[in-house]
Amino acid sequence: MAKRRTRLKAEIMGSGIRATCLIKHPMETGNRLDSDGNKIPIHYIKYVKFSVNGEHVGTLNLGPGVSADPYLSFDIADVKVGDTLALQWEDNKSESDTVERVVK
Amino acid sequence: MQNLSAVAATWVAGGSGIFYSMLANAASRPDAAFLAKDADTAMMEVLGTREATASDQIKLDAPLQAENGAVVPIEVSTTLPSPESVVVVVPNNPTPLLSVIETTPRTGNYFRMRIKMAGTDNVMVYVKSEGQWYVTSQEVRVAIGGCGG
Repeated sequence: MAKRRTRLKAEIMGSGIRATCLIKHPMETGNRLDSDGNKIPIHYIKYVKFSVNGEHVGTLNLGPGVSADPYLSFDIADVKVGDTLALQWEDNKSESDTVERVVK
Repeated sequence: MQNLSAVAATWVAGGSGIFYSMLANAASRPDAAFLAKDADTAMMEVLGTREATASDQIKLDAPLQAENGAVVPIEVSTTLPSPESVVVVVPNNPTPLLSVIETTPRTGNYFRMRIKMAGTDNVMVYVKSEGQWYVTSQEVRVAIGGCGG
């Protein structure tokens, strides 16, 4: 299982943050063909969950129609410097990743 | 009077039953809807209704023209009170349901993502606020579709 890279940053916006992530992932729809004309199997991230200091704050459920290498931003209110932002995602092949950032 | 309040109590109980079953649904991801090939099936599964009120309190920023349908950036912000759920649909895509965002009181007012579009189509954004669905949409003209096949 290939290790996929997830980048996460948190930008202070007023009394909260804008969490932005870039996940390296093919997001295959299952409709594309490879060079031999075989269907490339469907492979996509099912959800991206955000939490702050361990408290779940929101989930972005995604479909295969989200572009490859998902680049997402999500505003979260009431977050201050020193809080821990965490992101967890899982795809339809049960590959997953978790990253944490301390808000600076 | 007593009869009336009994009726009201039943109605309230029935109503809250529906409310709780919706909460239960919201907790599990609508997997089937994400793979549905037509927008109607996907939307009935996720929204549970076809009724949505057009609202200018949802702001959708998308390009008017996209050269490459594989990467269409969209940006959504809403001033609707306590958004509970945000749904992104592109009706003519092979799988029209793109995203269902489950929010908490701390989130839901703003998000940004990049989506694929098979061709010129509307991007529809539904927001649930205080039990009601609201919608806004914008057409994006796509030069080269980005869904393959």
